[in-house]
Amino acid sequence: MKKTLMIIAGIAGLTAVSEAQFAGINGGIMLGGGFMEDPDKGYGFLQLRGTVYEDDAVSHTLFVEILGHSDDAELEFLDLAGIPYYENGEISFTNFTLNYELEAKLDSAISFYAGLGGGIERVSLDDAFEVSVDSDRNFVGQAFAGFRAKLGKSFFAQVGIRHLWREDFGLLTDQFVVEDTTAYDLSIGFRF
Amino acid sequence: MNKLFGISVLIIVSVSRLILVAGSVLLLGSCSSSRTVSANLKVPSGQTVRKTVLESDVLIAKGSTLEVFYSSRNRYFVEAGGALVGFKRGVDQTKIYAEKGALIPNIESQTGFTIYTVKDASVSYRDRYKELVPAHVSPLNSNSMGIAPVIGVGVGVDQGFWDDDRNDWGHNDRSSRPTSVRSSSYEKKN
Repeated sequence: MKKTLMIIAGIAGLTAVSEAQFAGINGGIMLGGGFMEDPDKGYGFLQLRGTVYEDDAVSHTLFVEILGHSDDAELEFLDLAGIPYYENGEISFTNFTLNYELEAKLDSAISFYAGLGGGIERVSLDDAFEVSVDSDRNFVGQAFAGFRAKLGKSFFAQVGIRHLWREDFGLLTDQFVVEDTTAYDLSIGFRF
Repeated sequence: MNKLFGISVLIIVSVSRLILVAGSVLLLGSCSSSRTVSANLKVPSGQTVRKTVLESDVLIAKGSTLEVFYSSRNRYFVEAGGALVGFKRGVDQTKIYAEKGALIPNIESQTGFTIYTVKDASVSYRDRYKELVPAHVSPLNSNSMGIAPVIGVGVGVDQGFWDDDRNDWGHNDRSSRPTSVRSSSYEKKN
């Protein structure tokens, strides 16, 4: 299902890029990964970008981002005698956000960017067979900033920091506390 | 002036298109995330899974281990190099189709098993609906307590005895649902 989702997102992204080109918008795709402070977890993300305005000093960009991380889980079952036993499982977190970014060009190769966005965080609990057991959806917001470097004509790399505002989530009969967190990421991108 | 107006309209239209496509991506992402629950399961190679299994067909690949707590009305297909162990809480109406070299329970110490030897467990798993009997049905002339060595598939029961309707077998009634979950990184609310 994750692969299907990525394929759908990819097709939609390419459609967006070609649409953007047709309409005079510069498109781009960015892939990256990072590390968040709370919880102490790594994550990956994909951005589908469209720059709606650009001159020598600034640019304005809208992008859709899919960001995901996972966590180990332990599922509790009751057998027929009412005695609990436990199995391994996995909780997946996937953020779908729409974001705005302002880029200030410091010189021909280096720029500073900052922006914010919001969307949905989907929380999914899978059992040991990767069968979905339960899921939840919540609001997620983020603000981000960083530096970007041009690598040739079409490629670029960036290092950034972001702050994520996340809501508590519920799975089965349990409610979990989620703290807002700061995260650090590295990414590379291709501009059309 | 007209040129400026035209550029403004173009930008507005372009942004609208981008937002529309972005919204579609978000919508697709949120809608396509539901998953079908099935009781036809495969233990991936190299993994160890601990589980109570009810009314399911399970393929255990080479190099993987399934530790079962309780088993009822299941069919296990075990490849050579795969391991099916456990059954501490008991066994009922369970069939095992195992290749030579598979690690399966010692039936001398268990009841409720029927064990068959097959050439290719994955082929038997693939063809299980049309060529094997359901877990809770005893084949004719079989001894449910002993080994019934069968090469290939087909156990001599009238093919009309069952059909391909999965609901007749209860495959979608996965009743072993967890009661609670613990996360390794997120604290529960009090």
